[in-house]
Amino acid sequence: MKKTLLASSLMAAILSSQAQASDINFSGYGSIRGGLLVNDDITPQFFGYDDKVDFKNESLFALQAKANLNEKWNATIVLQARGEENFDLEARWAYLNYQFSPETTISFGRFALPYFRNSDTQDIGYSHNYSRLPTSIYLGEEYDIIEGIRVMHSTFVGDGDITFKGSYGSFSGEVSDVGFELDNILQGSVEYTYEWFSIFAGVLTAEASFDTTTSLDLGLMQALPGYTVTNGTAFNPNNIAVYNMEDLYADEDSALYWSTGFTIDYENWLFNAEYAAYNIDDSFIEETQVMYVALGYRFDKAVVSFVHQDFDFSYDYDQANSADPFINAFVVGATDSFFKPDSYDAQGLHFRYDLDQGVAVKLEFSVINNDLADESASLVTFGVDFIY
Amino acid sequence: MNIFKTIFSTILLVASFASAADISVIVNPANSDSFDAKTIKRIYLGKIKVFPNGEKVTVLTLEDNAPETEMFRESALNKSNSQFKSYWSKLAFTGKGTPPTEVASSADMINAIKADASSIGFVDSSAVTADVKVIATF
Repeated sequence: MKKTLLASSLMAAILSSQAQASDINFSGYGSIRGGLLVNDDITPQFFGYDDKVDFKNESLFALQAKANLNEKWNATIVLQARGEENFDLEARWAYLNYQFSPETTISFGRFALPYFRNSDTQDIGYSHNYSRLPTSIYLGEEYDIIEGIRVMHSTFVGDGDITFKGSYGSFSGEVSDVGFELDNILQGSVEYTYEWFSIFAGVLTAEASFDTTTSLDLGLMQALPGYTVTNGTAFNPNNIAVYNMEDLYADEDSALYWSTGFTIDYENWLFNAEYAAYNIDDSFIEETQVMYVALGYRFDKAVVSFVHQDFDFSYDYDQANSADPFINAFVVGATDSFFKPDSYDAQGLHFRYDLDQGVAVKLEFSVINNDLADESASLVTFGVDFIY
Repeated sequence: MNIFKTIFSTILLVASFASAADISVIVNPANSDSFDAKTIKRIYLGKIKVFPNGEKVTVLTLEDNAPETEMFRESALNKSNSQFKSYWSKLAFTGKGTPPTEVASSADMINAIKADASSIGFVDSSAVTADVKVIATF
């Protein structure tokens, strides 16, 4: 509701602004991509493909409308329709920009939350040389929106330039159909760019709450007949308190993300690496560590890249701390079913060919190895990324 | 010996004529700022948004498929058309800037620069007129 209101009032602001129709600038981007697993001992998480050709999962269309209200202010909305969400139209970005000075911009509204270096451009396939940004870091976009304020400041340092970015706000929505909230999101990043290389570091903190309280309470009572949960405490059939459910809930648990990366573009050689680590306090996963490295070479109109990525997490069952073994078994089971991702690594060859102005064809062949099962799947994708 | 000298200097002359078909970066004659190649590059990459005199820059470009555009981007910005467009797509869709405004022809470019004291553009050097000031050639 909140997002609809914000988006529609911004849309109204754009359309009713004194700007003539000719002052509203329309542009956009999109991707049409198909893919399938050609060798599928496993069906890997996060990639969204199985052994049948699918054209929907990674296809998307976006339209941006931008109106300059005056010299200092502009209003922008990006409407995006993703195949993954049945092409339902969503206001992905909706914000007012205030040009405080030539170097400093302040934005108010709704925008992509830059957890990682390229989070805000991950939907724009045309902007990079891969078929998608490596999924080890760029998981998707269920909770990478922020409603709040963003400040950007750029300045020159010698022959290079440095950009600071800071955001503050909150997010509420659903992740895997479970209510999810991030409050007091505080994000900061710095990026230095010189002619042929750039280096980045960023950090983000927030309070994370999953709306799993009721389902965990009910789940426990269903799984263990005779047990009851009252006000966050579990009682065994003899009415003895055996577990503090708060240990299992994710309620305003503090989350910390940090990431770093660098890019080299030198004499047609391209190197790109990112590393990130994150954790949510008191949650089941101690720490998630993700990375990728990519080496590419640019030919006239083509770019060939090799990408290695790794998704890993360290893991504990500290929450299974009850003296009651049945409770512990339930906690372990709930942990596994709710939050446990698959560690994997993947190697891929990506090919980009710039067919025409604003149109790039992409091909990919990747092998995804599930670390736990020690089995792999091969993924082939093909598609077109465009901007207009 | 002399004939070699003549042939050699003729070749040099032809070569220098060939490279004279270059790109001129132009501003309004009223603009008294000085520009180095780095400043021009920064303006076209959206890193500089105002002239030293404080005026907001209106950045103009010819169409993507104009040969002048390709030449300018290659030599002044060290980017191919697709690299230039990829670069700008990251800025344009994330609230970090507005890409250069397209004009349809060299004549339109000259007229636009003539009419706007805070604009910058480029044309083939042979199209330059007295209405604009050349600040650099590539």
